[in-house]
Amino acid sequence: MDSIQITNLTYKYPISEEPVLRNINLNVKKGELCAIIGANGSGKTTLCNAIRGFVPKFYKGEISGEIIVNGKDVQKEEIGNTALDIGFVFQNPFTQISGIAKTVFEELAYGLENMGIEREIIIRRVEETMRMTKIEEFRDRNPFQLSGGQQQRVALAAILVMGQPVLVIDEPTSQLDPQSTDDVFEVIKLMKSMGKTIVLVEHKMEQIAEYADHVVVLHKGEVVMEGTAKEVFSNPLCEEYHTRLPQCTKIAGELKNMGIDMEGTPVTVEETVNTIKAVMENKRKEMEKWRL
Amino acid sequence: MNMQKETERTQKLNPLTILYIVVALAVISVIYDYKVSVVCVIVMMLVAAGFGEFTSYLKLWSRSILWMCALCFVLQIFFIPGEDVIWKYGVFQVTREGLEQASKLCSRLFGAGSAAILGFRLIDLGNLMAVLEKSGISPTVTYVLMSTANIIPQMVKRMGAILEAQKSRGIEMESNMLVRAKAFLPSIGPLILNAIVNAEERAITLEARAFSAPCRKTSIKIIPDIKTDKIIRKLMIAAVILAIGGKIILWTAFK
Repeated sequence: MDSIQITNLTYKYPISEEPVLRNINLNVKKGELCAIIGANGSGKTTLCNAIRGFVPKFYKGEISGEIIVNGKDVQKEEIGNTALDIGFVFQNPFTQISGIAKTVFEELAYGLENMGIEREIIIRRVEETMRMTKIEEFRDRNPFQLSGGQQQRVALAAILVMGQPVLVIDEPTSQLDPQSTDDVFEVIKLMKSMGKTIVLVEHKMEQIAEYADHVVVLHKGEVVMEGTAKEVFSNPLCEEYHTRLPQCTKIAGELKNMGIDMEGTPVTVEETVNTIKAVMENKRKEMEKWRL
Repeated sequence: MNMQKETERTQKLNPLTILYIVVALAVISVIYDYKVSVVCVIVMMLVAAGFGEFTSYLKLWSRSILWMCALCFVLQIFFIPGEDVIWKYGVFQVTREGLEQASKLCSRLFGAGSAAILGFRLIDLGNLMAVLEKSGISPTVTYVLMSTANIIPQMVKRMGAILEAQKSRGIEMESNMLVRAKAFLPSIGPLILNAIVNAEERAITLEARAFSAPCRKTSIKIIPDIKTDKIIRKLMIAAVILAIGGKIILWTAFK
């Protein structure tokens, strides 16, 4: 079943001359992690805002086409109602702190308070989420005094605790160091394991190759490629759209160019190791045959 | 440990009760003359002491209100013109009218200012907002108040960062008044622009946290409202009514 269905979506900001999104058709299955990649200015963030309903309700502008999330037309829903169905996390960790909570615990509880959940249930759910996302150590700290990476984890946890089935996550690691990036992806992995439908915009191709079920390449507001990570990254067209390949895929490509016969195009570390192992094994067998 | 201490302190009385005390003291000191103001401020000191905040209150109070009142008083007595000259030195002269006017204004400032600082020291804003929200005040209003209080320290921090950045670009900051004034615009500009951009993102953050969801909001804070609270609040209302009534009687009698 499709959790998100986008049909013929075209959108133009009030002050832009040309549409930022052009005739987008995209389906995301329930429980799937769909990664959106593409160059800066290709419309990734706008697409996220459209799925969440901020476009055109918050940013105005002209929109045509349809976005259905869990059977509801996002454009027709009240913006406050959509919050109960779709979780939203964006780039800047510093502005994702609500600004009214004195502790991380209260920060996580804030969304649930707004949803009108009973106190005891809030406390239980916040405790549980903090444990799962491993942020218990920050429990009583002021969210403003955390580092960027810690704040981003708190922001993800504050959305996860709200329990929406669909999550839109826009470049959560763009301002973070490698360790924090790994921590954030641990949380995303957890969200995926909980069966959430996730739309993730990200530039870290290694992580996308590792976690995404479905990869969409946007270029100048259009969907130009779509498929599994393997399908997308092994397609030579991919690099023309200013996306970077995962390091592993690059290494495999270079080896192939050097004349080493490899089967398929690996996209993750594990696949690359296995492929190279297989090549070496073949070589060893050949050598043995030759020696005999 | 710190947290625990804080909750213990604020749990002594409902924040609304403290607000009543503060407002009542402020009103009484504003409507009467300086003698009553001084008494009110002494009462405020006692209240602060009751909450174990005497030293911190005194420190804050003496650094702000005391100085402000002293400065205001000096400026007023020298610059308000009048007929009855009490003291004169060169161009400076103190008149009876000036002295009266200055003591009236400064006593109000003294009372109201001291009360405001007492409120700032004793009331946990988060708890107060939770109480107000429960009693029907719009969450938007409480959000604006709360976030302003929390975001100001962030703005100060950012201002520091902007100043450093501008200094590293060669903008002179440490010199005479004129140089500093020139440096003001390139420092304040980015701060304001930043705040505007952040406001948009923060609005999205709030939407993401279901701020405008059509639900009845709940709160995880339990703020006790005991019998003592209710009695104190009634006493405060009575005190304000009595004070205003007394003032009216005095006013009509002397007229």
